[in-house]
Formats: sequence, structure tokens, C-alpha cells
Amino acid sequence: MKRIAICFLALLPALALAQDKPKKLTAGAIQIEPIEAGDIVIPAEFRYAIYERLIERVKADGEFKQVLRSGDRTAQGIPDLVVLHTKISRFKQGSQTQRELTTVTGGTRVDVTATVERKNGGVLLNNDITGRVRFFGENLGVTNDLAKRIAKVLKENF
Amino acid sequence: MLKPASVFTILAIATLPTLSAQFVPSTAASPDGSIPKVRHLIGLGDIKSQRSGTLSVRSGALSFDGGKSQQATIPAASIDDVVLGSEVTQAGGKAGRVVKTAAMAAPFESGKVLTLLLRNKVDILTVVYRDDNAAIHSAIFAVPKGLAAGVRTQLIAAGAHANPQVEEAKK
Repeated sequence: MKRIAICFLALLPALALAQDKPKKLTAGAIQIEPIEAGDIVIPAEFRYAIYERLIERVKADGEFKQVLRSGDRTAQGIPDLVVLHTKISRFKQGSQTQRELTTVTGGTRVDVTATVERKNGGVLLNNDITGRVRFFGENLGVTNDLAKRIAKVLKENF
Repeated sequence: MLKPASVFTILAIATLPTLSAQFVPSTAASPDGSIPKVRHLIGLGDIKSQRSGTLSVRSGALSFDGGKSQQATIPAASIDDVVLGSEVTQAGGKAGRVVKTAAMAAPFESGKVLTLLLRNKVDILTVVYRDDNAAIHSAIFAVPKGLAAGVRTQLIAAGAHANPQVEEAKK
């Protein structure tokens, strides 16, 4: 009896962890919408590069059976489709030259709110995410960093 | 006696004219209207990012030829928008990057002078188009300075849609 009690106590932390683990969302397909800028001034190449890199990343991660682009007609026939909307909340364009000369200034940063909704509108996920280029590389490298972070959030939740 | 790092810096600076001559693009298109030394950034299906090639508008389509099995064509009629931008990037391609990285070892951060010397301004050409399923795609290219506007004009003449170009505020 004493042994059983000890075993039970030893397993308690593991049981607690298992209960704390958030339940994953499920969806067979995701449709990625172009990046919305709202009132934020951001060059078009940044918006479209984020869109393209997101599609690349989410496809590569393989969390969804289908990754669809905005406007794709085939999306209409998919019942368990979720839609990813990305809205820019802040953008600061730095300078590659300044970054390389000073190391600490000239960073490029883009803040977004990524929202995943069901096709009929229910919000499943809403996250604020930041992409940065701090040291080396072109300013457009920020799009790669941001796409990587958004894809990571999707991977953690689906 | 010079330290190895100093020797390297001197060598790196000595190779600059060669690098510049090799990689800084000329500002003229070919007689047939095609533009060489265009860098594909993203968006053309299987074509690798950073692939260099020739961009042209022919037979009512935008074509990118990056050599062996690295070709793509976008029909002008499927293009929704063509947007121009600009960016200051590092000149010298991969060789330039290697030289700059190696020059970090130079004393008193003197290698940073390469950052000032090895840079060039490019036009960024963003082409937004739809495939047969009406799905939105975008292809982004780094084009030698001053040449992207010509591509845009040719694409519009070939039947591409394009919103009026808005001068975006530079920060």
C-alpha cells in the first residue's frame, strides 16, 4: 500500500503537465490571405514577400494537408478550412549599411497581428508577432524572419 | 611587419575595383529590351531565391531566364499589379559577402569600409498575378537601378493591369 502511494505521488507532476498541455486545433487546410497594411506605410515588396514566404514556410512545415493562396477557387469546396489574416501594426525600415557599420542601429522591424479564423468567421487564434533584421542581411530579410515566427505559432497550435 | 588581418584588408580593398566591375550592373537594357543581371528574390515557383537571370517582356508575357531549368513566364493578362520600389543592397554577390565577412577580422574595424564601398542601389519590381484557379501570386525581382520602370511600361502595353504608382514615404 505504501509503495502504491509513493508511485502515485511520483507520477503527480507528470499528470499535472499532461493536463496543462493545451489542446491542439485541427484543420485540414489553410488559406493564406495577403498582408493587410491598414494605415501603415510599408513598401509593397515587403507585404508580398511576407505573403510568399509564409506560404513557403507553412507548406514546408506540413501541418496542413493543403495550403491555399488567397482567391483560390478550390477553397470553396473544403469544409475544414481555416483562413490566416495578417495585419501590420508597425513597420520600421532600417538600413543594411547602417546595421553593418554600427552593429546596434539600423534594424528593420515589422509587427503584425496574425489571426486564424474558421471559414464561417469564428476566431481560433490571435497573436501579436514581431519580425526583425538586427545585424546582417537585406531589409527584406525581415519577411523571412516574420514568416518563420508565424509558421512556428501555427505549428504550436495545430 | 604587417599582421595577417591587415594584409587581408589591403588585399580585399585591392580587389574592390574588380568586384565592382564584375557585379555593379550597367544601367542599360539589351538592344532587344531584355534586362540582364536581374535577381529573383521570391515568388517564381521552383526558381531559387537569389538566382540571377535575364528579365524580358516578350509575346505578351514577362519572362525570367535564370539558366538551366530555371525559367518562368507570367502572361501579362494575368497580372493584377506591377509595383516599383527601391533598396540599397550589398554589391558583389556571394564574393562580396565572403570578402566582407572575412574583413571583420581586420584591426580597428577597418573592414567596415567595405560596407561603404560594396553597396549599390537597385529597383525592386513586384509583379502580382493570378494563376488558373484565381489564386494570388507575387514575384519580386531586384532590377538594376533605373530599369524597372521600363519593364512596368512594357507590361502595361502588353495587357497587364497596374494601379497608379504611389510614391511611398521613405523613412
